[in-house]
Amino acid sequence: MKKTLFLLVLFSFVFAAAGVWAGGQQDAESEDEQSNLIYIITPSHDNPFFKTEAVAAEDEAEKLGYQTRVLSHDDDANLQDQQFGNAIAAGAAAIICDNAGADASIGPIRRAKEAGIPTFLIDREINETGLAVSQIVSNNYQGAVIGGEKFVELMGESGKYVELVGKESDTNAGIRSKGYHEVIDQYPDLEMVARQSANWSQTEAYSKMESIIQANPDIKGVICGNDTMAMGAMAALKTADMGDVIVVGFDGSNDVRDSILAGDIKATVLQTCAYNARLAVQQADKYIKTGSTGAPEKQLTDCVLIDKANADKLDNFVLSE
Amino acid sequence: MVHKALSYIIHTFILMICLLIAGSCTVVRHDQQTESEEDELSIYFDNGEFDAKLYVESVWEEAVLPRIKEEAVEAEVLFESLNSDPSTAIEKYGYRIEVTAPYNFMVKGSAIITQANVKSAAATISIDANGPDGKPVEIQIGPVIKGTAVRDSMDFIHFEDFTNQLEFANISREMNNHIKATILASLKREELVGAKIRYLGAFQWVEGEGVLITPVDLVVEE
Repeated sequence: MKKTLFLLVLFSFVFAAAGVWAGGQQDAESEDEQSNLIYIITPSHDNPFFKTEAVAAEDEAEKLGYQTRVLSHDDDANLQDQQFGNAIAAGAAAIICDNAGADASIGPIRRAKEAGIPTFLIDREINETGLAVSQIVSNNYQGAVIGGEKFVELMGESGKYVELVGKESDTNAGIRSKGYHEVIDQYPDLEMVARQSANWSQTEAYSKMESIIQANPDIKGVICGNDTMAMGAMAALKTADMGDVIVVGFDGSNDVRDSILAGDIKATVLQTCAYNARLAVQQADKYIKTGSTGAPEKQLTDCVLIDKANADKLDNFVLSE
Repeated sequence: MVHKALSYIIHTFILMICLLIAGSCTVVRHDQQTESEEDELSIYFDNGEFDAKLYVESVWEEAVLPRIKEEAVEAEVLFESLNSDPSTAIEKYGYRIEVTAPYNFMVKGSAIITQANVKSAAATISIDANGPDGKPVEIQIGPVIKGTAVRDSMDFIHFEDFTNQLEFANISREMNNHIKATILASLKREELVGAKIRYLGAFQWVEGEGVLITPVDLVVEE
């Protein structure tokens, strides 16, 4: 049933694409007009982070006079392959993508390039240069380091703690974990008693945290690879009457902002995802019009620490001055 | 008109055949993850091909130190300038690697150590200098050294020259390790307060915050 539905969806996409393609062909015959369609492909919009970057990219593209097609690959590299295929078939002007894997995404980006369609990556980078026109990379490592430093400070440099890691297939899960440990492991009195993946999920973080608490009732802190897991962990801790345990997240969502303001979660790390998405669209526009973005392919944007001091200035992943 | 309709039908027909072929193939997922044991999450992104330590050793004497020696501004001049006219100071002395990052400054000076903050593993010494906005000025003495001020002051180290952000991050880590091993290892940590020092280093400046210098040279004068 699922497969049938999937095929139906696929069919409809391809036909839609075919329509645009055929239309494009006819236009090309008549007046050699350029494509005006930008594909925006990101992970699932269930996570407000990805929704924000998709909406920002869409808004910026429409402001610049483009039509958009917004898709989610749900961190499935095969689905991403098909979506790139659609964009190629549709003769898109550009693809804006938060990719589904540092290695798995190399193939489709190369095919798009060969078909003359430039790709602009946001948030996550790929392990190859010379394929995408821009890689506007959120410096997750730097973000994890400042989050880790805040966590160490809140812990008073000692005590037992737990780490909740994100989805393993996601590059940033590894990068953030490595950044945290780069800092925390330099402090001999901080002891990690459990380290588990909760796959970026709030419910999974809740249930994993519940069982971790059973075995380790004396934990002092929990450091999480993203905000949804931090929310899950905080909820489990509060249920167990352990609301004073230090929880630190990553992303800068409004949920965690509110939790920080309420005194529950202590800190998170903001990625400037809306800024990055708009920058990518602006560079795509410039590239389409002039053949160059004027910027290097790989561009790094820093993350910002959010705690009680600045949480009230945060809204939808944008920190007001 | 007839020609266009015909072309449309032919395109659709070709696509349908393609789909039939595609439909008969088995789609194999290539992003499958093997379940790993607790505490053994693999970080495949870091393939270990790049030796950051070797890289830092190769540029330290030839490029890092010469640049900081050349570009460093006398502390009193720099702090006064940041205090009175930050935008001019930034334009004149600041360097940053990208638009969302804070500016880095290279600095040198002589000072008296007023306090040794050695309770934390990220230990620092406070010096008798007036930071911008009257904020304190500290120098990191480790063992934990925070930040990436030294790497980010280098105009010859560009993110795009490295495979990914981990390699880029490892450069900063190895620079800080190099500083610990060469400059800070011989520091007599019990006899710091009251001592006169000469220092050379870099810091990342955020307006309204104190100055935290990562030293690349630190000499206690007899």
